[in-house]
Amino acid sequence: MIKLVWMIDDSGIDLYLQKALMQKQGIDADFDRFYTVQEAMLEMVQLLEEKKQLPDLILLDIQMPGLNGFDFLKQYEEIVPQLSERPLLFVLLSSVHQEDLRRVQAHPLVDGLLKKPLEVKVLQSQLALKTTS
Amino acid sequence: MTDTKSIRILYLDDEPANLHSFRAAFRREFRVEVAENSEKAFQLVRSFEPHIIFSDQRMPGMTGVEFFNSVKQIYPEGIRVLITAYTDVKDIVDAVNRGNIYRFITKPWNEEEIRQTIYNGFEIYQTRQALADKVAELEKTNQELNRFIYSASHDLRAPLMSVLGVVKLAELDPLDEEVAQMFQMIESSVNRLDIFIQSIIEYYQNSRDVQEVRPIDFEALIKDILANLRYYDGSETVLFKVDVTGAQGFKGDEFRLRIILSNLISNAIKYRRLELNEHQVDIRVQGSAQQVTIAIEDNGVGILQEHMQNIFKMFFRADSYRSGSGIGLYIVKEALERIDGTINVTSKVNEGTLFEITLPSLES
Repeated sequence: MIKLVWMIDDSGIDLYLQKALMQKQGIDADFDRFYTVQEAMLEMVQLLEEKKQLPDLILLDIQMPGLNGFDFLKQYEEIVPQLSERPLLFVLLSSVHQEDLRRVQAHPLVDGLLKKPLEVKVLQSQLALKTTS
Repeated sequence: MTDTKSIRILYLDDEPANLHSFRAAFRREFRVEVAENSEKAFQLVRSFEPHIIFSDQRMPGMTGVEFFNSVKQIYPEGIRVLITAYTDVKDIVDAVNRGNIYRFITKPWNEEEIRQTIYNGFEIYQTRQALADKVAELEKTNQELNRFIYSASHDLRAPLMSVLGVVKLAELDPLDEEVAQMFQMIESSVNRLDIFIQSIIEYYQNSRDVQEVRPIDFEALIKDILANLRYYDGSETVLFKVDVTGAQGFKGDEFRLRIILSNLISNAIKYRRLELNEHQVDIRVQGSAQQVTIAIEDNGVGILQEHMQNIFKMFFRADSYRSGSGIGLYIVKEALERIDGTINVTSKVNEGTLFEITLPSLES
């Protein structure tokens, strides 16, 4: 059951869209938006310190100005060993950069790869696969 | 005219008297350095960077031909001129033929001949240099242009996908029929633009030299391409027939094959005859481990004879009411060239078109 979703994306429109698309198609959860990797990282560290509930699902954009999705993954790697339960992490891509695709697919902390605009059905079926296995 | 004083000359000879008279004859006109042995000459080649290098043939230790053979390796730009008394003819002919020597001058040399050789040689030096500069400049511009197109294409896609997302979101709610139609129009325009952007990206990727050769499973490849094309405008109205015979063990560049086939198949969909009820596209693969022929045949609008020679040109479009960008077949041709393939077209207006591709298996 997905109760809290984090969305990390520099585009406000895309953040709005993802939330609305999920809400309208039956994902009944709370949604937190982060415009930068730094914001998300600060929040995560704070939640860990206060021993609060982490998100169940993270939707991560890759191409962002400043720190990008790969930078997030790098920092996240260091946090993961401290987690009792790891959130599911999906990467959202609008780019068809072969190089990006390969890097994302090869990353051990990435549970799935989704194309923009978000297709909630695809997300749901991938979630179902992940939670049953 | 270039100031002759800027022309740098190196002269190698083991006889001091020759060096002396050479220097005396030319030092006022050109910048002249001389060397008594090859060791010193090599040093000067590096530090002085002469435009033109003269060398005597007969010297103790190393002959002029041998000297030039080595100089060519470390300093190919210099124009090399051998001074000889017609001995060792075979060596000299050899060296000239291999391009190691620009010209030879027979002993005893006269001033005018040397001077003329210097001017001609320097002109060649300058021309080569200018050409090399131009080539380097062009390669750089080309690369920059490609990179720019590539990154611009990606930057274009991000907002485009946002537009598509907004439309999809709006379509989740019940809409007024006319509004629904408008959203449909936006969606199909966005898809068209996206396909164009993607083909630009394909073109860029194809223009790079990387090639990944692996065994090709044509059934699976074609199935996958058709699955990717299922949102293509009109594809739901087309009946696809796929037939693969033989071709086991065929190795190829899957990325480029995919570009070629998906462009040809999407063309077959795009150029269907709208007035027909049954649109059909046959895809036939036939061959061996060494070679395959792929036929893509449709019962579409066909191609006018007068357009045949132009269809593979960039941005050529036969008509303006179809949504083509004029880049698809150009990319097909470019990709085929990279994998040594050939293509044949037969077509009749209002009956259909047949594209036949022949490909050799590639070595991995």
